[in-house]
Amino acid sequence: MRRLTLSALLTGLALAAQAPQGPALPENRSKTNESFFRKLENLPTPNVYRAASGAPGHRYWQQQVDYRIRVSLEDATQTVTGTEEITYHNNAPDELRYLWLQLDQNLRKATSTGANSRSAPNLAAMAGDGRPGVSTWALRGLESKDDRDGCRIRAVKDATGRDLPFTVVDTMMRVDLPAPLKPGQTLKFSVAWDYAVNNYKHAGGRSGMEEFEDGARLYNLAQWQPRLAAYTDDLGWQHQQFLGQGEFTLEFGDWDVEITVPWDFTVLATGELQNPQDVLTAAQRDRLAKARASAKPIFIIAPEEAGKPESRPARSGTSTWRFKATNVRDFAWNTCRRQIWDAQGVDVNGRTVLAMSGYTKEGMPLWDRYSTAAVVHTLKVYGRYTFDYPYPVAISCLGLGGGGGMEYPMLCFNGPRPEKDGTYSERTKQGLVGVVIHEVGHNFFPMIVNSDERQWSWMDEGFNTFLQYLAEKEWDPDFPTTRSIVQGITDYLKFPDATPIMTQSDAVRHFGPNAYQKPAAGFNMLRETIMGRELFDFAFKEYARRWKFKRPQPADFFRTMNDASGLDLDWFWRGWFYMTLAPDLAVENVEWFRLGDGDPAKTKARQKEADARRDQNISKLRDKALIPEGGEERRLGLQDFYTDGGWDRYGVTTADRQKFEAYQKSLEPDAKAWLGYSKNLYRITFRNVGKFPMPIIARLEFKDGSAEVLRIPVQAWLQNEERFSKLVATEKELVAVELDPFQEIPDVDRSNDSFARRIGPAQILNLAPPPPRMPNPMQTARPGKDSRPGEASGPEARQPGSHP
Amino acid sequence: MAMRTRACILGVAAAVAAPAHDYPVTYGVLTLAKGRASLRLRLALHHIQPELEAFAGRRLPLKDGEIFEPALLEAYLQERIVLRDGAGRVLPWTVASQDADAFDLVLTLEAPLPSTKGARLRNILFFDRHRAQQNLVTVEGLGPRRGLTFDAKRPELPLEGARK
Repeated sequence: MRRLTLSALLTGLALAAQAPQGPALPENRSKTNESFFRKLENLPTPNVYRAASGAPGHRYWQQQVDYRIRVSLEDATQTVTGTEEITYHNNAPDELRYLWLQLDQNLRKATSTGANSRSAPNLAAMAGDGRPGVSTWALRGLESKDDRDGCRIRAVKDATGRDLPFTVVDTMMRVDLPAPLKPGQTLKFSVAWDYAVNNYKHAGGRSGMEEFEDGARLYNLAQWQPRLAAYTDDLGWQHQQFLGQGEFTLEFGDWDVEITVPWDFTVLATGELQNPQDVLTAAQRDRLAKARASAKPIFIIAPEEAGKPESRPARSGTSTWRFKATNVRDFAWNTCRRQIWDAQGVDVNGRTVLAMSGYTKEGMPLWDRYSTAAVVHTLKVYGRYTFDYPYPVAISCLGLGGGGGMEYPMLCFNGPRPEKDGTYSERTKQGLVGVVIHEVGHNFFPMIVNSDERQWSWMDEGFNTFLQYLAEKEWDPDFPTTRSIVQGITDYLKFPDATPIMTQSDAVRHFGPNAYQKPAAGFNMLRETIMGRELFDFAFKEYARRWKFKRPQPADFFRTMNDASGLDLDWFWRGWFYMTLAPDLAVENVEWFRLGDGDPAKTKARQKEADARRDQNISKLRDKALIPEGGEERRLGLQDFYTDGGWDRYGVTTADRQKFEAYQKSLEPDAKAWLGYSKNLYRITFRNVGKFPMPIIARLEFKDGSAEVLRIPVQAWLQNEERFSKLVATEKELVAVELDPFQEIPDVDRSNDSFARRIGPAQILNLAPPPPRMPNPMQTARPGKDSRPGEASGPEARQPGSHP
Repeated sequence: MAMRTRACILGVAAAVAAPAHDYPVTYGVLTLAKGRASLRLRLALHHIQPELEAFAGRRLPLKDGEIFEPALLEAYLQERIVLRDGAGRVLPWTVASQDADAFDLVLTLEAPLPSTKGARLRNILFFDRHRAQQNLVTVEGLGPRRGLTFDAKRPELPLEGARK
């Protein structure tokens, strides 16, 4: 028995540190496996199309749709009119009796599901004197003045010119085929259509037209023609209606597009320009060739040339610009009569890609300096984390209205622009760089890794926001980016109305935090902490490689990350993507142990100390002043062996020493070695308050001022999801434990992260100001009396009524 | 007056799609106690600082450990974050504390709130800057925790009962 004592003590302590404490699992868990670490049951069963590894299955297929389009823009009426020949390749193992096409412009009909299903604004909150009121912009929306016919279908015909029956269902159109399209067959048919381009100022939207003060119009044209809906192995036809928020799901194909515009317009578009000799001057063609080898942007159309007749090869009528794009899922174009255009080459592993920007004078002087530079930077950084950019061009175009951005293959629209006086704020500059990185970055997700945006916004916005963060940090280490910072998401994690990331796009209420920020912060956490940079980067790149030019679903991503990293991350996918849990770890307790050697002198001394501590109670302390030493017994002279001072209850007796010597002799040599063990043993207990297991990162601070970081993998919570205790043996004396010292975990309650408890940094407490004075128009009407609190009164102060 | 002009341009977004990739959010926690309300706001410094500078008409460079002038903050916030009692009276906020780190300004505003019955909160912070701005406020105390989402369509919400 004795032999066991010392060696077993350490083992016992270690075991106790790991053992479950208390009722960790509710009783009903005995019936089903409700472990947080069980395999994710939400995923579809793997099959021949989608493998269990997360890779495309050995019989993976996807449809292909090729377009040959002739389209014209009439500037006077802002009308787009076109005909398209569509070649549909049925690569599915299924027979198709009809095809579904998307008519996104139908969203603008007053009768569309999207328009009709939007809730009314709270006008009562805007009504009344002293309230902010309602904007004219909003009133236009309320009155549906932008109600349009949507996409007017003029004809749908087969390859022989016979009409094909079609049925428009809101923003979708079903075309009935005269005979079933069998697997492996190809069908050619054509659609003729037109639509009136929306005025962005009145109706907003991802595309449309903006009219400048001089009457010139800038067109961002996207979702401009009937496009095939996706037909997939897991959903069949993806024909969820376009409601405005959930974006697009499309098929890859080859596009050949002829765009006819007024002679003085220039066009930038998805794909490579096929007829520069028809639409560019000789000088412009020469500049374009030079730009390919240039390390800095070169003007193809300089600011002073934009809008001048001599900058165009034709001087009347129209010009037709022809573009070809291979293996793209969509096609967008940008056109304006006074467009500035710059370009430079980017070397992508020996292949030159043209990075370009198109903007008007409204974008100067910001765009000429930063847009193309940001395009180049994006291709380089994103390529490093995914794959080489495969397309021949990457274009950033001035977006409508000055805000936001929107992405399409090879071309995107970006809003930020300088003030009219040619100045811009630092925020505007950073806004432009950030949005160009983001929108160009969308080429990788979802334009090439072709996820279903209508279903899962996070699969492109989340990935892209994460990579945008990496690119922004490389652009400027102090770039004010917060959307991928782990700590930046804690407020949303705590918000009671949050929805899981795995929510269909149109049902997501808080789109920014849900589709962009939370997934991006999650990827950052995986990369920095849970997986580590090396494993994450390898697995993420493998996902991108596997699904490049294919159509992944969430399960394909989750499985690939597990498969390529060698880590089972199902617990993370469950908590972060399928639930709305908020991680909250706590340091619950720290217990201190030291190994004893059995020496009775030490044992008795410790006993003496313990008894002395116990005697420090309030009664004893007060009685000390009232009761004479020795008490009544001494006053009466009744002392004996025990009280006359001859006996020390803490003294070491001969029997004690003999017992100790016998004990030492009985020990095996390995046990004897432990007698000199002098380390402090600390049993630190952590609690999973938030019910979302996370790796434990704790800084141990010692009395000598030194510190160590403890990293415990998430598997610590496997057997007990509520508490975990860790035994730490150290020569040093531990004085404090602090969880997550590097802010790696989005812990929503920092108050329980330290042991001993810490007082946080001082917050500034200001004296309350006097109550606001009653308005005194007579006083403010006096010259020099119109300043408000905090306003400057010098010459730089804002003039009344000239609000910036 | 200038404030009102700015507030008037808040977008209602009634029948139009919002622009893509422009979804800014602020977060706050409104703690209700008997007779008082306390609103803790976390605002990105690169959002609030230019707004305050535009409001003040001058640069407001912040060095480490510095804070904004409370009077300026109050003047800026008083028409953007408005607490009203059941009778519609505005209950004035005072800035109880502010703390700035590298990224965020964390503000605590306090106001008397005799009763939550009929009380309403308006939060149109940054609405005049971003049409898709959302301000999320978690309400704690005097009832279960609940979330309020302020956006262009719902700039003002009752404190009792969530998701109105």
